[in-house]
Amino acid sequence: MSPKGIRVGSRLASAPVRFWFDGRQYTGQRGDTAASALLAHGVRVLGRSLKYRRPRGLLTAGPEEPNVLLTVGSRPAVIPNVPAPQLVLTDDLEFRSQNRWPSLRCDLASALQAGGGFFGAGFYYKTFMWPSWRSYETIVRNLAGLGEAPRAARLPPPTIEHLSCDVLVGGAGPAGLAAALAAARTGARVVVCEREPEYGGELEFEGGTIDGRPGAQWIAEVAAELARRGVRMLTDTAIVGGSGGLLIAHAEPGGLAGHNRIYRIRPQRFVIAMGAVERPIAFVDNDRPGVMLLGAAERYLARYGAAAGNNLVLFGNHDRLYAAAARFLAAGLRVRAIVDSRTDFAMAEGGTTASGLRAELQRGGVECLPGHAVLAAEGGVTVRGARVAPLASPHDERHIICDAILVSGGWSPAVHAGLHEGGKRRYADCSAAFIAAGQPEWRMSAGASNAALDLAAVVADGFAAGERAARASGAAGSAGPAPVASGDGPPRLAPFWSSPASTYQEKRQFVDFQNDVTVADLRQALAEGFIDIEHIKRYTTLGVGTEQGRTCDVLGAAIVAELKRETLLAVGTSRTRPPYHPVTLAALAGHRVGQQLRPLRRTPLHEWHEAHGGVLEPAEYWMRARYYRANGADAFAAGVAEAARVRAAGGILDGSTLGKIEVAGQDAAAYLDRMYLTQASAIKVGRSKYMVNLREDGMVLDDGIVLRLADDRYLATTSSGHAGHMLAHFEHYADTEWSGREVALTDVTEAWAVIVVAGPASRDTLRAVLGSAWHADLERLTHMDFATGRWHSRELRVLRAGFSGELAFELHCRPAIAMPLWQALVDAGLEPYGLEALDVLRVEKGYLVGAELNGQTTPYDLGMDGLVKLGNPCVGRALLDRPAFHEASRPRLVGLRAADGKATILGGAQITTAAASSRPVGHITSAAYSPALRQWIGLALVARSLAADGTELVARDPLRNGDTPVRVSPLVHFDPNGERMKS
Amino acid sequence: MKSNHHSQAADQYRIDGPRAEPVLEFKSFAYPLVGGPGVDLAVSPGAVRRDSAGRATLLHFAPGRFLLPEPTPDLARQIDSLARAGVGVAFDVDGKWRELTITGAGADRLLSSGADVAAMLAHRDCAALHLFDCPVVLARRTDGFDLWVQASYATDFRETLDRIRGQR
Repeated sequence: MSPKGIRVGSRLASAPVRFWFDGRQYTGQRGDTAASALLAHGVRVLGRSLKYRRPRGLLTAGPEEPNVLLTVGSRPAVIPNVPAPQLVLTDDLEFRSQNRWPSLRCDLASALQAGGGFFGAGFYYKTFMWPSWRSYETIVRNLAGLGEAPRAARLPPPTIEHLSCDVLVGGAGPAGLAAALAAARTGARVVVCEREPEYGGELEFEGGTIDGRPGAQWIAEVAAELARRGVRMLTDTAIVGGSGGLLIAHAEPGGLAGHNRIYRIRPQRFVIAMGAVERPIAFVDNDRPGVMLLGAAERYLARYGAAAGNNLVLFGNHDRLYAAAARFLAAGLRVRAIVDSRTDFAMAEGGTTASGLRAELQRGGVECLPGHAVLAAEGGVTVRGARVAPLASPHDERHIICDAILVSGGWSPAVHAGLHEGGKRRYADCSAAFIAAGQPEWRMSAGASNAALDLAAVVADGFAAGERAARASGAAGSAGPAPVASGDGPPRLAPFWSSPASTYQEKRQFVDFQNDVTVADLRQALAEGFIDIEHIKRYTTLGVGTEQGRTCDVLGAAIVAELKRETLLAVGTSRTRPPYHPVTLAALAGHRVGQQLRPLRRTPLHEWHEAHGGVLEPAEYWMRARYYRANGADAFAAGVAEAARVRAAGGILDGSTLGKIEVAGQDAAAYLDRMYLTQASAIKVGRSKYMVNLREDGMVLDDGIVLRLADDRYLATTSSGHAGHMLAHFEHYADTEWSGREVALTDVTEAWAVIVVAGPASRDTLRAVLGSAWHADLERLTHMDFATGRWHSRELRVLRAGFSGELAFELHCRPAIAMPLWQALVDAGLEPYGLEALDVLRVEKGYLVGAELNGQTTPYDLGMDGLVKLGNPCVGRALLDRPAFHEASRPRLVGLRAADGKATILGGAQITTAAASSRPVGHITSAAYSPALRQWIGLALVARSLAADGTELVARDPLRNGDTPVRVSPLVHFDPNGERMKS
Repeated sequence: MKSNHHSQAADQYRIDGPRAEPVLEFKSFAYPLVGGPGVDLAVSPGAVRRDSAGRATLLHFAPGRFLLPEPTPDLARQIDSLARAGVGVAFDVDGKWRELTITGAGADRLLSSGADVAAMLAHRDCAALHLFDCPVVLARRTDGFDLWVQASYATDFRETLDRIRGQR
């Protein structure tokens, strides 16, 4: 019997929507999902399984769908792994099935089914070893994984929104709506996140009334009241994780038709009312298309008018089977049989509603089979019948013709949002499932999340939780009377996990549909010694992937418990981790993509560099010119040329990125004495000094020049990009250790642009550019002196320093005059140089380039013994006396050159004593080709015992440069007496 | 049933800036201010003083830390007298900040992409924070927000806002 597509009435608009599935055109109704539309067309096979490539159809009606994941769009801008029940149809939407080649009907890899024994649990740990993994890699990679990664983006980028509220309600089923209603009535600010596109949860198809009104009417009235009260209702929005009181919700309206959005929500109180996820039962071939969860079939019918089949067999372990059967019959479908694993005694216990309904159904021709189980789903590609037997005598099989088997093994409360931060679970007997336990004060469960499964209890529990949450958040209004609901009553579930089967048949009893994990796999894992559920999960892949165990974690754990002859409580389930359902990386990134990956800071001269061939690269957060294209074909050539020009004539560098902190107040000098290795108080006004900061443990933190602007005012410069960090460091001590002092600090990095003018021609050029008002100062300034004045009516500070080893000046100017000043220098004949050249100049002079300050070097390591001897009692000074800092194994900064004077040496290379040695005694921190010396030179940190000039060592760089014999040299490679700098 | 992910109002905003303007910062050695010559800086942390045209003239963005955009000569004199009296230090940070103004019904939603500004300004009118990873001083105004962004970040900050505008 081949199932035909059926529409049995629908709440959807009748407007047709054309779409394409696997290249074939179909028509759905506006509001349909891909799942409902294809179901209505009678398309049962919608995908292939991951491992065995077995044909698969819809199991669920929600984002937990394990079988039918679709690839939307066409290459290269595809979107993979979209659950079919979430994909809302839009005009001419194009999507296709996954895990098949060349087609869904004819998949060559389905031959893997024959290798079921070979592909058992953990097969990838035991196979693909001979002759080597490489022999299999290409094939395995082509077969593995879900879907195909997109090569290009198509959708608009997602956004992030931060929200705060008094009460966040996760879920807008009856419990969630009741909770939101109670909280809103008290005056609390409420946000509701509902993963479905509509409110109401299972009220949509279940019977029952609330406050005397049918479910649909109550939903509409509550939604209207919540809107009036300003509650923010977010549909299509699932709470996917949380941490430290912050909840992350992911919105994907229409599956992907709308904007992806991440909500970062900080509520005062969080009510988890996210319902429960229905579980399947393991029986032979329970993955055959046509086997569907009972609740999913009800939803497709109620919301979309799409029937799972014409002739139904219902199989489960609770009373809801009978109410559902009545609804299917009312919709005109034929229910062939209700297979109830419970005995008559269990069914009658505690109530008569289901028994009465059963009698009525039987009178209507529905066969009711208590104490029975479906042993197997029969058929070809799709279900054509059910093999059924009494549990007391499983060999007394009989066949029931059907085109759909609707299964319900109970429900697992969706409590993930309460467990991501390490919360615990408690076993609830009434639902044979786990609920959150031991939750913090700000978090509470309600409704099915709290194991309440009948409508009256769900609504009452939700309302009480909402009111409690609102009160705790400070709301004082009255919530009014709680809604009174009446429904089918509790389902009176009796745990039943798997039907009887032979050990051989267990290979086709699927537990985790997405990962093809069967009862046989669980048995095998146990046999191989994996007894903990976490280990079993990893060995078998139970509950991994996009489905994340939503339908299978309790089922798998229960079957393990049966196999181990333990209780489900003793076995437990594996830990749930965020995200609870797939979230695109783009959604998490939000605005942080492309140019906005991280903020890029620009100097006042940025546009000039861009317009004049500057190759700009991020350095820390700053965009800096590495070199200028006019000076060479690449960074190396240009850097060498620019450095050579600075030594020969001169050049200008944009040094605006230099961190600058102004420190002022009566106690500024005394304060800075505590912050630097040498005394700031000894600096005269108009002078500056090279200074070093230590961490408390004695390691060097940063270095820079400190200028004394006035008796009570200093400018401390820091490494580029370190101003923020150093300001925090300074403020920490100003606010805590020496809080009584009169000292104040602020970051003035952007208030002063810096132009470095370096080279023999620098003074003469400045005389011409700055004008006669500056001539006297330019002649007067000695190394580390500075003068202040004005240029073009704005403040200008000229410091005689420059970190190039040349006669050099730093021009600190207000940003407003940075561009005209720079242009005037260019017009006067100076050309710019970039970071490559700066590094060359610094290495030649033995100045710290950057890699030397790695957080593990002391002043002694860097050759600053003389600074320490001055004895200033600053932060970190006391710990410099530790014996360990003086051992021979400590590093020492040295100069380094290739032994033959020709070979290349590169920063990062390891230093060893001989080529054969693998034990490093140091590493090269910085290296450059010196145009002045016509050879490669470097700075290196090597063990002190090997730091003597002339020591022969080997630079080992196997990935880039091989082994290079090197020789320790004086740290200062060029102009060791500083004659050029002092000229 | 409609979800309020997004309303038309969320798109209704206007961004002006970034603009360069002279700014003073004042940092007191202690808070509450001690030993001043009677100058009125008695706005509580988080408060913003505006002139009759609604322009922010004094932002107390953190305890004892003040931002004075385009200070009037009178206000500059007052700050100077406070500094000379040893109450604190004035810093001329001309060029450090760039000002932006975002107005309109969607201004809140725009900035909430970067931080929970509603919560941040629930009990105050200004605050120093990192917004879209950029250091800013944010102040609420009747029709939106004033922002002072550190100058080196200003272009990137504006580009981020424009990008988010395109995402909506």
